Amino acid sequence: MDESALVKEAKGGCLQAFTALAGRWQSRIERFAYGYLGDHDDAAEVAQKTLIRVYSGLGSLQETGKFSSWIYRIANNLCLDEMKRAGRRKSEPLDPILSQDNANLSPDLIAEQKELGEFIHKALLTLPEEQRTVIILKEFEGLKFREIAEVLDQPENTVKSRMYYGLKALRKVLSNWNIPKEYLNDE
Amino acid sequence: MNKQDFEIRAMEYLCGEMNDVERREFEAELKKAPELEAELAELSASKDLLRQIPLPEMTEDEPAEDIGVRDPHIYKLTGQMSEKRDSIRTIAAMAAIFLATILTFTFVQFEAGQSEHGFYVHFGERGSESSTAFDEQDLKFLLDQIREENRLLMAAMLEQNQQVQNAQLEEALNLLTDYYERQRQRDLLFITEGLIELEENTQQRFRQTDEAFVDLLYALSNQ
Repeated sequence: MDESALVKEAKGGCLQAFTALAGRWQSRIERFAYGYLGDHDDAAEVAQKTLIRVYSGLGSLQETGKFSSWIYRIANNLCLDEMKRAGRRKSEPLDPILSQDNANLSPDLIAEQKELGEFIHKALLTLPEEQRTVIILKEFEGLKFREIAEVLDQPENTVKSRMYYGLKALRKVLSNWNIPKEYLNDE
Repeated sequence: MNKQDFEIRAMEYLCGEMNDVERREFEAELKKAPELEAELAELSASKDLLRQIPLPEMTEDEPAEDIGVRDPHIYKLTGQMSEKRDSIRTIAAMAAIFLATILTFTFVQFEAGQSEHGFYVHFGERGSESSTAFDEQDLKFLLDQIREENRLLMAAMLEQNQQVQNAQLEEALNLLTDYYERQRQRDLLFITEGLIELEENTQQRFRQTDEAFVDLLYALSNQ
């Protein structure tokens, strides 16, 4: 069934329709939250809280066509709350990476240990949350800039600008972690 | 192409949100500015790196069996009931129209017939024939009407102007917001870079201190 029709039914109090919506969105929100927080348990908790908020607030949703923006906005706010609660920004900037002797990491070793992806994710987690949100919504969730602007309630150009600076900062962080140049260049 | 313009267009280009014409124009402009072309390549590489991040698998449950799928027997019953309800509604509507017509003819003094000019149908009391010439009162009424229309027209024009001004103001505010946002993002980038460098320097100093301690201990132990 079309998502908009499902939302209308769920708004009218149909529990089955809400269950269907939750089924469609749970893993998507969990993935978004994992990209944002880097922890599976926290991501699952955020997804659960998001669905609870959706259930209790569905009556206040004016335009059913904007359901996806609305649910991402809720999830984003919950991720921010979770970060504030855990004080991640202060406690987990670069320590886990720099404590390792990554200067000695060869490309082969990285490939063998399948760590490159994790390194990049950790680098992403060090970015300011505004840039991180835009990058996650764009790259992981595949939203258009217009849609991200709607989720964040910001002008479209601001969103593009955040993406630009986010990518620049990501590169800078990875360079400082001595990630081999061949991974940072698209040659 | 200035820096800000490049930031916006580079993102549109890399994320495939440009149409063919815009893309060709952007590529042509890039060819004239190799430094921007190099920066774009770096941005593209950073963007590609994001694909390496291991994400949890998406398990999209399509619970079609939970919703909308009902016992076919129910569909059959509801279909029959619906047909029956439709026919009852049609009969009731026709009866209502018939009744309304009779009541109308009774209460509004309906009159139909033929005069020397042809057939006529008439409702209510017959009035006296009025002259088609304008008197002073009619003119005053017409003038009032024209004045009222002019007033409404002016109000509409003023409102339109107001809307245009509001839109211009909003656009200016958006531009200003964009500008401040970009400045803020730059500051954030500088701060992030500064923090990284500070952290590196601190670690370097810790290492140097550790080495000095080791040397000192070694010297002391030798004495």
